[in-house]
Amino acid sequence: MSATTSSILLVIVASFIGSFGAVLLKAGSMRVKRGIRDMIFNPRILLGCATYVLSSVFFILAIRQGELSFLYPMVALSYVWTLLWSKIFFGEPFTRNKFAGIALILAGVALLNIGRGS
Amino acid sequence: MGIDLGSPEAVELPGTPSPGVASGGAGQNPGSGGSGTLRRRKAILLVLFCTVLGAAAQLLLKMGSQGVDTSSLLNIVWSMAMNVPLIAGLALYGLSMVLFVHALRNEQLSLLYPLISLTYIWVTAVSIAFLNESVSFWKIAGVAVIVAGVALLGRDPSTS
Repeated sequence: MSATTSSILLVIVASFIGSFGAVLLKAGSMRVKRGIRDMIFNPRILLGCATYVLSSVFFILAIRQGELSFLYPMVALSYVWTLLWSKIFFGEPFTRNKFAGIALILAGVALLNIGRGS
Repeated sequence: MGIDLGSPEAVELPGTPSPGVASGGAGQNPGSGGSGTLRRRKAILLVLFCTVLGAAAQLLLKMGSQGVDTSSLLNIVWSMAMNVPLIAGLALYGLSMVLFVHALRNEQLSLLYPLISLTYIWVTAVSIAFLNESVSFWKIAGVAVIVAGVALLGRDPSTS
């Protein structure tokens, strides 16, 4: 067994939380005019970084038990959430490439899970 | 994030020595400022370095995760905060992100982003080599398909 179900769920939660980190960084970056100070004291960017830390905590709990080579690739699921938020919050268009990329990521995660028991 | 990212306006000026990549620790050549291909090569090398850092970070996180005490919420927080491999892993991860953003200042995202997906290959390789994790057809196939997917996302013209 390469990973327990709870480890897999923790990775999915971590990828979900992490995708909001990207949204917050993007929202913050749109308000940064120039300079590093503008960036460091931007509440959205700070919150985005904190969100990444929280996501890391869940990821670390996930990889305690189970194989890193099985659980780490599943972090790519965060791209699926991020694509969703990009559309919802920033109106970014879905494109054929994005669809194909997401489909491949989901297929890859499925392949990993097929081999989970073996 | 203690690195000065500078002002983005300065990036595209021809003839100015590339201000970004030099502090990244990758190979630098002071006389190369005006060359577009050399700047591109530097940015690519820097991103490749980021992927290696990212894989090293994951290895450290995995090692550190073994020392996490999950008996209570307080113990989780404390045992993570006092965990040297974990902190080192998170620091490396942060560093690789800052360096990646740095590399992006000089090159298109659509060129550099697909390279980031190499991290999945390195992590799988070091997990098998150093953590004695299992190798199976499904695992290799899954990682390969995920790498292709992430690379394809990064190639999207609308994200560059």
